[in-house]
This record gives sequence, C-alpha cells and structure tokens, in this order.
Amino acid sequence: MPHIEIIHDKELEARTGNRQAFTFLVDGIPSMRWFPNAESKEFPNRSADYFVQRCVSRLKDGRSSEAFGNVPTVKVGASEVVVDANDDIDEKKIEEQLAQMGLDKKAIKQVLHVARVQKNKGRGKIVKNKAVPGEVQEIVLGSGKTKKRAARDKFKYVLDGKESVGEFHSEKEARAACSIQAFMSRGKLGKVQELQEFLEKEFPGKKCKAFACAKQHCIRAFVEDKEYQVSWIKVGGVWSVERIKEMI
Amino acid sequence: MASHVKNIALSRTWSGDMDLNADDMRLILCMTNTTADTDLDSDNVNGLTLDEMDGANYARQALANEAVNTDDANDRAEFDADDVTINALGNGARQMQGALIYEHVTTDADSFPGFWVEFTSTINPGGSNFTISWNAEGIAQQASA
Repeated sequence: MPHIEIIHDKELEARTGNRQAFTFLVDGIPSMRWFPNAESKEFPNRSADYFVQRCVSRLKDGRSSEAFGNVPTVKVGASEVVVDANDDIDEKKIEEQLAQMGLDKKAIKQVLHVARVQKNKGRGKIVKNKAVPGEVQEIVLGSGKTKKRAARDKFKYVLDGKESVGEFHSEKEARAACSIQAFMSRGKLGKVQELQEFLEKEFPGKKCKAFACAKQHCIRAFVEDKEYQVSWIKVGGVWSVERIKEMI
Repeated sequence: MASHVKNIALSRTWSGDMDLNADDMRLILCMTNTTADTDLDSDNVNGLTLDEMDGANYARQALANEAVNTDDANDRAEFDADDVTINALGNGARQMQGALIYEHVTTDADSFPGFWVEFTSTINPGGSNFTISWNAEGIAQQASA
C-alpha cells in the first residue's frame, strides 16, 4: 500500500486567508487536491483534517469513480446483487439471480444494460488469479518458522490496460491500490511523462525536467533550470500539452 | 438524462448566494415519474415534478459535513459530503431513479434545486438499509472549461 502523508499548509492559510489548506502526498507525489480546514466551533468533535481524511479513506476503500466508474448496486429485499465494472461478469448467472429475486424482465434488461455500459467506464479492473487445486505454498510466520498451507487466490489490477506489478491477497487490497493509482494519474497528473517528452523534443540535448509540484499544486516544466509556463488543452476528455512559454 | 448541475445552482454559486459549505443542503429521493432528471431550468424546487419517494421510513435527508474541494489535476471544483443512509427503506409506488440535492429555504417554493444525481439503475430498496456511497471524486464537479 502506498504511503499517504497528510499536509496542513499553515503558511499558505495564514498568508492568503484561503480556507483550502489541507492536501496529501502519495509516496511523496502531490495529489493535486486541496481541502478546507474542517475545524469549527459548530462541530467541536470534527478534526481539522476531517475532509482530507474522508477522501483518503474512500480511496483506501476502493471507492473511486476514476478507477471503477459508478458501481450500481441493486438491493431487493434482504438480497443484494452488486453488478461490478469488471469484464468477467457472467450475464446469464446475473440474469438468473435477478429473476429469482423477483425482478421483472424489463428491470433485468435495464440492470444488464447498465452493467455492459459500466464495463467501459472507469480505467481499472480487478483480475483474480485462482489458486490451482492441490497447490501448496510455504509461508513465513512472525516467529521466523515456516508453515505450509493450501495456496490462496491472488489478485492484480489492470489500469489503462497495464497490469499491476504486485499481487494482492484480497480483492479489497487490489481495489484500494487501483483506486489510489488511478487517482494519482488522473487528469494532468497522468501526463507528466508526456510533458517530459514534449520538452525533450522541443529542446533536444538540453536538461529538461517535468514534475508535479507539491507546493504549488501544478505541473511545472524546467529547461536548463529556466521555468516554462505550460498551457494544457483537453480534447475528448484527455489532457495534452498545447504549448509552453518561457517565464520571464 | 445523466447527473447534472441545475442552471440556477450555477448562477447562485457564482453570485455567492448559494454557499455549498454553509447552506442547508438536503437530498430528495425521486421515483421514475420525476422531471428532476430532465428539467435544468426550474429556479425553485416546486417547479419540478418530484415524484418523491413514498416508501416506509423515507424522509428527506440533510447532507452532513459538506465540503468544496479544489482539484488542480482536472481544473475543477468538487462538492462532497458524507454518505447518506436511510434505514429500513420500504418500496415506493415506483422504483427510485435518482436523488435531487437542493438548497433548503423554508418551503419548496423558496428552495433552489442544486444537482441531479442519477442512479446507475432504478432501484427498489425492499426494506433494506439504503445507502448512497459517494466516491473519492465527490458528488458533483464544476470544471473551468
């Protein structure tokens, strides 16, 4: 799990009187998201970092529309069917399950339509690697001793078509990791590499650096230690570099 | 129609008349005969056909811990609040289609519609605890362009 550090920029708050002074870093990289200070006499039990903590806990819970789109949950009586945005939904099985719950044909058709539409939303999905029956794995206990047990299923996530390097022990861990990775590569934050390549193409042979700045919450560009202003354009929902201009 | 921001909410937030952090923001569950999903123009809640949920244990919900956050990666502002739960919500006359979030002022004639949040499928709660779980990107967003 990536290391998340919450920051309260008190200096910014004092200097600008801006309410938005909480943010967080993931493995040192800025999230590029600002939150208000939640401290208030009206809510004495609410901590100052309540809003940023809420966002972080939702990401750790795997609740990210960036990663998974909207996940529809249909609740009928005491039963629940969660139609997920993963590719491996078994439409026939879901249809049977919904029919057993008493949904009519029109409602079943609607749920399946949404499931198919939702498959194409969100950038991520979870892949389960089932353990081979009879396979045994050796684990190391806290005491240092080893123990053999039946192998368990492993999980990976796929984001923008690329599979995660690490494997996870549970689907929940994989969803959390995917959510955080999707969040940290959203919008312009995911285009730092593209900006770096743009600079290297514009200024071949020169020292170029593109990065997300933790202080200013923007993507910054430097060529030979001279800063350039970046103008971004969004086409078809995707950000790209429009032009750069030397800052005087 | 997909989830959207009402025109009156856009103008009132820009003029400073609607403060999403401080005003009394509430949630109405609407069933499938509502016009809240297609009418962006009505200035007051009573101008919409709500087709408000009529199942057992339903009541309008006040949002808690509202916050407006700045998303610099996407050049937008995001409105967020705590998840909303209605316990043991019975079925209504029709299935629920979505939620209208509005600025409450005394009566529906004085209140202002804010956002329409469409559920990804129409829903019968069937007596279960009904929870709307907002995700990390919040309830609604307003982009700079």
